[in-house]
Amino acid sequence: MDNNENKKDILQNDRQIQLVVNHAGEDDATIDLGNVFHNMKAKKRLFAWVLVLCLVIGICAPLLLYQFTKDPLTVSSVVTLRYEAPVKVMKEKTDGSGKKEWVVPDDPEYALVTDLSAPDGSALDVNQITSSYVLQTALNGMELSQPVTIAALRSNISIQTILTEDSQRTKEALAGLAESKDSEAYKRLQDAEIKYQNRFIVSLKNGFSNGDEDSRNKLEITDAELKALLDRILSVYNDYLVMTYTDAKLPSDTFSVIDIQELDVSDSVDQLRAGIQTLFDYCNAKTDTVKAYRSWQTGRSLADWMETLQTFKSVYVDTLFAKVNGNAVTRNKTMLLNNWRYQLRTAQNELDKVNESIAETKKILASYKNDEVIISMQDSDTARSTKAATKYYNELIIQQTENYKKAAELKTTIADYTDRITRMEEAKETAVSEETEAELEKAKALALEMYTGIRAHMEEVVSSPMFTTLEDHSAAQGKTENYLIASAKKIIIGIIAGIIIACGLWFMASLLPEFSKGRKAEGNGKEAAAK
Amino acid sequence: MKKTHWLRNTLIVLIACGLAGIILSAIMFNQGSNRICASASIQFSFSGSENGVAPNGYRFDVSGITSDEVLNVALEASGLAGTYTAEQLRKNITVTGVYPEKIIDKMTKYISLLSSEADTQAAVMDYHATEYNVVIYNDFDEHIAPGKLTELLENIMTAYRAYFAKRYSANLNTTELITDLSGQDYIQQLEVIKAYIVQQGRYAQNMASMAPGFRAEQKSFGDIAVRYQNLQSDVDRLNATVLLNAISKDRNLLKERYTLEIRTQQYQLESLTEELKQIDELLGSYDKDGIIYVSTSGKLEEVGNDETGTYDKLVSRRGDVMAAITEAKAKITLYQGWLDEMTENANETSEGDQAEEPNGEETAQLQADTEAKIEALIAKKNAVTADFAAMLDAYKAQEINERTVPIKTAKIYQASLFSVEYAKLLIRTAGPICAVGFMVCLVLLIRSRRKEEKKI
Repeated sequence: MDNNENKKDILQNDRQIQLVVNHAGEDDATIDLGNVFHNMKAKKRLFAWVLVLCLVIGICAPLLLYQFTKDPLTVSSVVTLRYEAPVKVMKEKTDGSGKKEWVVPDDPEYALVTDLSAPDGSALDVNQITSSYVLQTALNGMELSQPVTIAALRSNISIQTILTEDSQRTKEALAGLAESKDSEAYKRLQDAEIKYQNRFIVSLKNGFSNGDEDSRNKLEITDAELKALLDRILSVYNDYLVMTYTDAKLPSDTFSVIDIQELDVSDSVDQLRAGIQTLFDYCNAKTDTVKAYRSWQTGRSLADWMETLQTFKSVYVDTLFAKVNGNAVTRNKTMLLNNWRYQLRTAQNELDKVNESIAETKKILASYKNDEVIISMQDSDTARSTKAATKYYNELIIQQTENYKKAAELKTTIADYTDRITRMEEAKETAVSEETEAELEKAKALALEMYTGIRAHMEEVVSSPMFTTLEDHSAAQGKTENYLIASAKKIIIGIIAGIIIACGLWFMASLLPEFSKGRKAEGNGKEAAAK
Repeated sequence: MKKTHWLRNTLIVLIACGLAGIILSAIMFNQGSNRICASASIQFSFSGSENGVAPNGYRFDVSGITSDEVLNVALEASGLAGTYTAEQLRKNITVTGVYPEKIIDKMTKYISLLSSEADTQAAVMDYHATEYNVVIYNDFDEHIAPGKLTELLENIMTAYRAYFAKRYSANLNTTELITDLSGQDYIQQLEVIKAYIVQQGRYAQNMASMAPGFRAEQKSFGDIAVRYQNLQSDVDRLNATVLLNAISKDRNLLKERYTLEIRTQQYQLESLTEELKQIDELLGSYDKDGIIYVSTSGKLEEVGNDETGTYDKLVSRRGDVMAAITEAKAKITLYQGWLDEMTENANETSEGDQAEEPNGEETAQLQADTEAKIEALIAKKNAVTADFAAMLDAYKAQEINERTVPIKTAKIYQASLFSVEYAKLLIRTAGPICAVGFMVCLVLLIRSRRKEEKKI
């Protein structure tokens, strides 16, 4: 029995919570935990609803919050540059610093661009993407659901250039050296060149503030509009590049102007020859890639056209030239001779000038003294002097080679005219026959046809992706996170908080009656003691 | 209040909130864009499409979908040629490449090149879309029937495939520029024929390198290239016969032509030789920059240097002049050789003729033979060209067809109250309203339960 009573006492004590009421001189009050649980059980139906309410609030509150605080969508596109640019060479800087830099040589070779160089070899200004021209043109072609201004659009565009692997490593190493304060190594690395890849990332963020930057009321366009807008901006930028850098000049027509009826036959043939040479030089000046481009319409390349031009010149024009000159075919011998003598005199005058220039330059070069530099060794008496060619000296050399070239050309022309005049003077004049005129007409028609063909070919080349796609961009990509997934973390926190709050309320609601019961009992005890 | 009342009231509030949400979302949906659009897609699966390279070896883009040519063909096929213009349609068409999500993430995220993902990123950056979605909106005419819009888009896609086949495949225009050779001397006729053969042979060779495995009727582009080479040999042989026998329509003219060419080249040669001499003098006297460096023995030593490249330019110019001299000399030798052959053979022929038979008849016979041979050569060349053109057509058909460039049928997207877009909007609008209503109901329920408890 004693054992049983003891156990009961223990159980009775375990069920009691010792509550100390901070009233001086008062006895300790106790709350029966069993009663609290009993109360909880009694209120379980009510607090099941409270729990549901708290859970609903915990789920709905994050979702509502997301509606107001969600991040605007950002779409991105990778832009890759696709054109041929001059291959740069490393040269010493002209500022005398001794440092070297990449420069475009005078007669550069062309290759597909590998860095952020413009088609002319200069540094490409990618910030032109946000220029007013590009943005305004892009907006002109679109109907957006919100009135987005250029300024708002500009502030939402970001451009990220990408370093080459070497440059990236250099940059990371620089950061490391800066931390370790190794000034020598840092200086060496600082001089290292930082190069970028031929691609960059352009991003456009939704949420445009037309006035106040910090305003929370931002204009939002649809996701599809945002993607289309970025695509449009990059397309306009491509057109801008084409307009700025592409030399889309087509050949000039030098054949239509030949008036066969008016000019002497020999002059007409001369003009035909000159026209063919001009057309040939035009084709020859193009890059190898352009020369090799094969037309989808004709299957011909510019190199094929150049060969055809040469064949045509050899077969038709040169033969006609030989026929006309060999037989002294002319409408008016005296006039023709006068014309040739005039041409000869002009060429001779020109040659005299060139020869004079050659002699002058020779004199200057003979007496020209380049800069002398004296170099000595530290802690030594040894010293030596050397010469450094000045810019002017080099210019003189180049000028002299140009003079020689011009003189050679003029000498050939003079020899040719002298020969022509001598032969014409000796030969008996032949009247222009219908046959010769017909041949000339045919040659002119063929030359015009060839010009038209080359022009059409070049028009096709300049409208091909080789010329029109200077930048190739991926479709604008980016997606808004599902709003349930985006606020999942907050929902979980909300649910847990809801459960804790609901359970807390349930417990407190069950505890309160016991607490007031205890106080009531205490009051009754005091009354009884007073009585 | 009884339990059933509460359930009923809660249900009523929820239904009311739901209805309010539906009405509100419907209003919002109708106030938004009510345009319709048709969507289709085109896929490129020919060899090289993954690298953005078309069957003709050049890069391709899909901008041609909105070209005048494609849109006009599509309008014509849909019977809408007079109703709408290509310009109206162009504004309402969007073409978007399809990129896998993984690729997008990698393309748009900047990853440090020092990270382990760097290699993957570098490879991914060159991704070329092979599928494009094409969407046409009805903004140019809001009253266009959905069926008509779909038909129009399908016609655009079909026209584009035809355009793509034409634009990005290999073609050969068999029409020659210089066709009438009757007025020219034999040797010149052969020069023109040879030029064509060389050009087309080169084209065939290019195609053989680009598509080595391609065969049409058991023949490859390499076979065509060999046939062109054989033709070239035929031309050379005939050329030699013509030269050796001095067969000409107008021997004097030809001689005059060669003599004139030799004279011109000689004038040029003289000028160039003088120029070369002058450049050599300049090179010899060029004062290069000196560079002094410290040798291991502590001495200062000097070597020549030219940082500006002027010396290199001089050397380069000398090279150009030398090349021009060589070319002029080669031409002189060639024309002189022809001239000599012609003069010697003409003498031999005329001497022999005097001994055996009349000169005129034999010359006429030789000319007739040559003309017949040239005609046979032209016929042979035309046959090879026709075969080559047919082979290019076969190549085009193999590379670009319904299988390699499939088009997914156009679908219409009309924003209706049964669409997914509306369902999303409904959830986002009515959801919070219902949740708030439900919460209100719960609060009221809790309050009533408390009152009930207090009464007890």
